Amino acid sequence: MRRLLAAVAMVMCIAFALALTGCGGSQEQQKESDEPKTLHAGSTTYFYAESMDPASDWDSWYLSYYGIVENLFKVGDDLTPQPWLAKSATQTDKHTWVVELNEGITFSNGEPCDAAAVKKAWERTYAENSRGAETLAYKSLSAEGNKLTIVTKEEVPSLKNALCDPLLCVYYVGKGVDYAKETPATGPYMKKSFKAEDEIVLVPNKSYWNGTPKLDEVTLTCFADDNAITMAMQKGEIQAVAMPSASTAATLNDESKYTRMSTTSSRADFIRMNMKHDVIKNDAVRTAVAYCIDREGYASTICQGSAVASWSVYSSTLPFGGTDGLNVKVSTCDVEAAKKTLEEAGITDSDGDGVRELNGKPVELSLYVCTNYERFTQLADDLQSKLGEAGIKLKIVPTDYFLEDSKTFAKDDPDMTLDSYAMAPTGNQSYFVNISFASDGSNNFGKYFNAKVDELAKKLEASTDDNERNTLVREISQMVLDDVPYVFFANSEAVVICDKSVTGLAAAPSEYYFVTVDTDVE
Amino acid sequence: MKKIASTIAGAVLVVFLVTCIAFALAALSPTDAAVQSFTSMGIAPTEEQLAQKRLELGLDQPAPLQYLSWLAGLLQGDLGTSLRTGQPVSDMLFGALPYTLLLAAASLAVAVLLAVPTGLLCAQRQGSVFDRVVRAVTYLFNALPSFFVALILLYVFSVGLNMVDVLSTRDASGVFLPALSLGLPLAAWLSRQIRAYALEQLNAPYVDGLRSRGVSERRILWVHVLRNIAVPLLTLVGVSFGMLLGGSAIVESIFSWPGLGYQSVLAVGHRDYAFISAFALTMAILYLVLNGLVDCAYRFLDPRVKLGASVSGEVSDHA
Repeated sequence: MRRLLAAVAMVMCIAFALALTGCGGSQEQQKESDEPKTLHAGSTTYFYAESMDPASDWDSWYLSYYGIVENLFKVGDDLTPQPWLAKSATQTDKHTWVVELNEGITFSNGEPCDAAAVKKAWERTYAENSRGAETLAYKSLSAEGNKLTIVTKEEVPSLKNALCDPLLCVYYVGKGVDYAKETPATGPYMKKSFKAEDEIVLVPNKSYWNGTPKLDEVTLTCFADDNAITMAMQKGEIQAVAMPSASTAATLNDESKYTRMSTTSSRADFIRMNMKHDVIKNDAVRTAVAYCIDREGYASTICQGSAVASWSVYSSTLPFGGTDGLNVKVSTCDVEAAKKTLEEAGITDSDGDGVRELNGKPVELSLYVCTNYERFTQLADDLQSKLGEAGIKLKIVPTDYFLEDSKTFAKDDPDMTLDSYAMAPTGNQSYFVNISFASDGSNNFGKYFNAKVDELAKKLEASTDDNERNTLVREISQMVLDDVPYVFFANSEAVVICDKSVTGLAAAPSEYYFVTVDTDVE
Repeated sequence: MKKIASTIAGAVLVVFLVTCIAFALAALSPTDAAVQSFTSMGIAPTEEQLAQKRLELGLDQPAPLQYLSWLAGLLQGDLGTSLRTGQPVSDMLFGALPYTLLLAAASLAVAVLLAVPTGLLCAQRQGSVFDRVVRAVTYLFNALPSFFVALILLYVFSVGLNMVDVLSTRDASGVFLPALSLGLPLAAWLSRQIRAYALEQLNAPYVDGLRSRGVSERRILWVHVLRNIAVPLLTLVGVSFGMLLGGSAIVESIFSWPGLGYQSVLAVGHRDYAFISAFALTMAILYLVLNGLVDCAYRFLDPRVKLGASVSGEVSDHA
């Protein structure tokens, strides 16, 4: 028996030692000067490509983050379209645009990238992905040298914005390409190895047309857990985190060790009002809700600085966003102002139970909160407390889904929902107006209606002048602020945290880019 | 032969009902894979986009038809296509299954290797300082959820002691920490059960007989008592293995362990009916096979036990 026990103990020791050996030791921190330059970055949200095929589902977005594919135009830091593979795009008549490509662009397999190659890539993408036609509905494409002529079905004033959508990226289409495994494209890096939803290793594209990639290898790893990615960063196993959570950002806040890059994106967190409901129809109730949202506290405490407070409709990063030129009524979190607004509207607590009455009924609201976003559940708790103080009872209904289709919205029939949208991912002024503010908008689930907004939305859709379009959006924003069918309370920050040696990673407001030709490790 | 046929028929019925219930629960959810496809990318889908996506994914059909279609495919050996990734479900499932089995087996090994000696020693030294210390530790680990243990272990071994890379737990060679995270709380529970079984045996008349014949206390504990608690211990091990197979999702997420648990959490989040049904099917089959193996092992350990008969009360006086 003693021998048996000794054997068991030995087996345990050997297993322990083997496991530790298998796990590997810590990474060498010091690098020889002739060692390859490598970057290892991680994310819990950014690197989840399911295949290497740009036409498949959303994979073009990921391939854009990785620096594998590029578009004719890219979204600049001010969320306006900037030339990229294309030199220019000129509108020759209502439905015709001529796009001229830069000279000397080649794919990573050495094949030239001209207008015919763009045409081939788009034709394949449109055949494979139904979102193509929604992104840019073209009637015909014709290629001649580096000139691509696009004839659209309808007039598309925002064509340059549409060309920024990663779905319209340019990649090589030809015989022998297994798109799901590897697609030659024009970006600074190309795939070395890839495991879906786990890890991709990139190496430089030797044929890159617009500079020289500075790294010998880039590894991008998906993490499922915030704590794990934080520890990997603390231990130096990874050198950068893309779009960290609030808790990760708060932990990695040592400025002597880490660099934090951030830009405000077009993504907004907001409350959607169900304008069909009697209590919500009351202007004072909606305004009281707007007064009770602690936007500064949400941005600084709940989001730990990964969001900025919003008092407007659109993000201030956008040329048509911010509060400039708008008459903003609610510009502070003020429960007393909420009480005053309700009092003035005759909504009082006549029976002294702490809840005000409207038309003889207590003012009780339901707020549907998707618990996938922890920040929303925390905000809802705070809002419940402040509205309670103002005399409105808030019932929080937790869900594990967003109410983002009309069927679900109609079925649950909430008074209010918390939501988060990228309001102008390509900088297009009319995108969110058309889907959410226009009375026939497909995402206008709360049935907001303002005839003037509908009129301006139509005018916006027809306008090709950028200044006029910006002005029209500001006019619409003012009406939305006055009517309060939505309360936009924060804009997300696109954040990248990296150690001091890393430069050139993109914290892009469009959320389309991450690895670039300028990405380097000193 | 009749009994075997009836057992197989029962198993097929159980498997069918499990997949049916899994599919129904997923289909009853207010949203579907089409909506999740857009919202997971932070995109507000239009009604047209949703309609097109539902058409592509086959979600435009009524749920019972979708299930029957999946079932028809299953009978031809096709588990369908994942609504989340577009990959064949069988590839995803059988790619992740070995990792889940490895993690479950390693965790169980950790638990058994720790729980059997401590449980037996605690029984032998009932009321001693050792027994009380072990009791306190087991209560602690019983109260701690696995994910918390996982985070503590990751921090201590990785950031604190610098012995293990955080990224090293992503493949088979890094099974140590995930197995310890699942194995320690399980060991705490198992050791209490083993202590109780062993105490029962130590108070049995046959132990007095062994002592009167001069058999050493060590031999009584490690040979006779251990042999007599083998059957209930096997039941515990079988139940524990089943629990580990289906209950490791959070630990898998923390360690980025590419097993079925993490995949199933993603599938539920994305309303991937095809994967959810196939996962339920696989788990049901694994549970049934496991139960069958445990039943067979009873007969091997104690020939008096017959298949289908209760094992309780049949294992005493075996010395």
